Amino acid sequence: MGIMHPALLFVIGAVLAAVLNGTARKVALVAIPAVAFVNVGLMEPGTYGELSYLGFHLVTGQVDKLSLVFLHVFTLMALIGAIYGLHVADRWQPVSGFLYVAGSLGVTLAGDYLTLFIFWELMAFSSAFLIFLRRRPESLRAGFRYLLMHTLGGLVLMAGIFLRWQQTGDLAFGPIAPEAANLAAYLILIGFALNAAVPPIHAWLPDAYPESTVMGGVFMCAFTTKTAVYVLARGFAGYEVLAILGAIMTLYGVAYAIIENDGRRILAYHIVSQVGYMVCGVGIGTALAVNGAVAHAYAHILYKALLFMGVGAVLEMTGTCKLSELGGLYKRMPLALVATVIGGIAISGFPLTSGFISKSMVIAGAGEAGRTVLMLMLTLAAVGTFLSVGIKLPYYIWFGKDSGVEAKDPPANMLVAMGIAAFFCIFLGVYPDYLYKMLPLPVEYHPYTAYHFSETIQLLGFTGLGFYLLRKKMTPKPKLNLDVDWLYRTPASTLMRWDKGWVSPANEWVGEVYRRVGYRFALASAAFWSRFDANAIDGVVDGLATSVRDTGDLVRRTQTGRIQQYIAFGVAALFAVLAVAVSF
Amino acid sequence: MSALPRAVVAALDAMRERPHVLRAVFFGALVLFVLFDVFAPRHGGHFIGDRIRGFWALFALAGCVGMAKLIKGVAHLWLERPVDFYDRKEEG
Repeated sequence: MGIMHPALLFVIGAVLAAVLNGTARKVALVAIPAVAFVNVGLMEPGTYGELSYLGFHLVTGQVDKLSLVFLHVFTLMALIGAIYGLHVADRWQPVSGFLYVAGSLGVTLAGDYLTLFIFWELMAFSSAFLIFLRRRPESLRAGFRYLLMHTLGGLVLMAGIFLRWQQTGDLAFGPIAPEAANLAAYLILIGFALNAAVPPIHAWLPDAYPESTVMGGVFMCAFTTKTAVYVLARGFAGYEVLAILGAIMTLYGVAYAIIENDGRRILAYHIVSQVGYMVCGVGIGTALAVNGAVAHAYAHILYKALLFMGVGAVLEMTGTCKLSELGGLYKRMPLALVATVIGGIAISGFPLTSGFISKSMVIAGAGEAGRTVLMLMLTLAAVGTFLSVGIKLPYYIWFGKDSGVEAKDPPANMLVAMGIAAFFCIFLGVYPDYLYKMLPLPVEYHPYTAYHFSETIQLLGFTGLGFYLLRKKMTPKPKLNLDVDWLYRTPASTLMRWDKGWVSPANEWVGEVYRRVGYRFALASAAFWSRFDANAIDGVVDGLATSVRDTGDLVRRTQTGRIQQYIAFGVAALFAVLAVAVSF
Repeated sequence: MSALPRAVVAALDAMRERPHVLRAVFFGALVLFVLFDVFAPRHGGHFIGDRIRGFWALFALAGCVGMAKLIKGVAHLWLERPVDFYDRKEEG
């Protein structure tokens, strides 16, 4: 398996990021993902790293075409993210980032559910720190909500794994046919679906990602959801429920992106939307649709990271990414604008960009499978994508009304990272075979047909017209939009208020009563028991001791060592025995 | 500012100074897109829209306007809250 398990490489990277300083640390931060990327290129399909533990057969390295394509883009993304964060002084951010990548790579290579679960939890815990490390009260709260939701998802997954182990005695991680799916399979599916942000268990994503650090957001947008797409593609291809929920996801995310005001929250909702294409493709389950899902995951990681980097640069340089507080930045941050627009046209599927060659595969997969309604839903979501990320996002940050916000283009390392991602967004669009050769299933697909081109330019052009007509109504408002997290955040805050209003005061009252009454009573009773101990207990104990001592003394006096006295005692005892015997 | 960002800003400034040219190019392009669709070769579409000339133009315009109006309306009537909605609740 190449040089070593790539997850191990990133764990070493995390240690180096924690202990090294200065240039050596920067070299390590770039070298580790670069070596991992080359290492993936050297991997050959096969089964590696098998071990036996407590009677379980564990496989830490299941390498095939499906895992290779994900490993390829994950390590490339880790390299881009590491370069983007090179200027960050907080050493714990890259440490958390690398452990998070290690978790993701470990899941991708896991051949059994136990190994998968361990890396799955490593991902959840290490990524939570990418939110905590923003060090704002809002981030702390969002981070804990994120961690709680993922712990819940992890428990459901674990329940599914245990149940499956009990039923089959087998922990191997592989496809489960839809006809053979039972409760265990569906519990595992729910655990995976939570990480893929499938509604209604998606709200953790738009809640937490916008609260992460600038560098953390770039890492998080790539790994959690796409690792979930990978495990769904491996385990649950062809599940109807995924096809339907995936199509709903695409529209759900887009709808919220249209009304959102926070730039990174718009992008977070677009993760829900874009991952919807992948979940739908996996759910349809034909070779074209599954290949489309995988291709879209690859393309999506790069353009979504580019978007998060562009808007993250705005946040880094201005302190905000709320559209209502920005505007007119094109003169001050032109390069960040160029990068974001390239990400925006790629996600919208412009010809010659990566979105054109990947999204269309999923849509064509839906069409070819005769799923016309799903196909139209996915196409409508593409319209909403261009409207909200392709036009609205750059328009209100870089154009629109000049906000007068002071800004300049970000540091060179951030621009280099954006440049690499932008290059891949165009490169994949121009040379799709680079990606198509890596896809897991053998299938013929040609994106550049006259009709597909015509369809795309119409969709994009007339979405532009729609925005032009609606531009006054599209102005983002500084508001919060309710999502299903309301269902747990409101009861939780009610519970907190109840705690503050009743439980906590009651607890304090009891404490006060104890201090005033109980404490004195305790002191008084302690004094009483002390006296009782000194007089009564000690008296009894001392008395007992005295009598033992006196008896001992008496016995001692009889031990004279004189033979005449012993004979006299012996004769006296003999007479006593005889007297008793005669009297009966 | 080095050459590349300066060139980007200059190009954008030039476009912003000529809004009528931009509009003419944009609407001209839309007409060309529909014309291109009329003549584009199509092969065995999966669905009726694939056979109607200019279908996707109409789909995009209606979808874009309809979706934006619908979700803006839902947000206005139901989803919108003040920015500190949860903070006030959570801080009690």
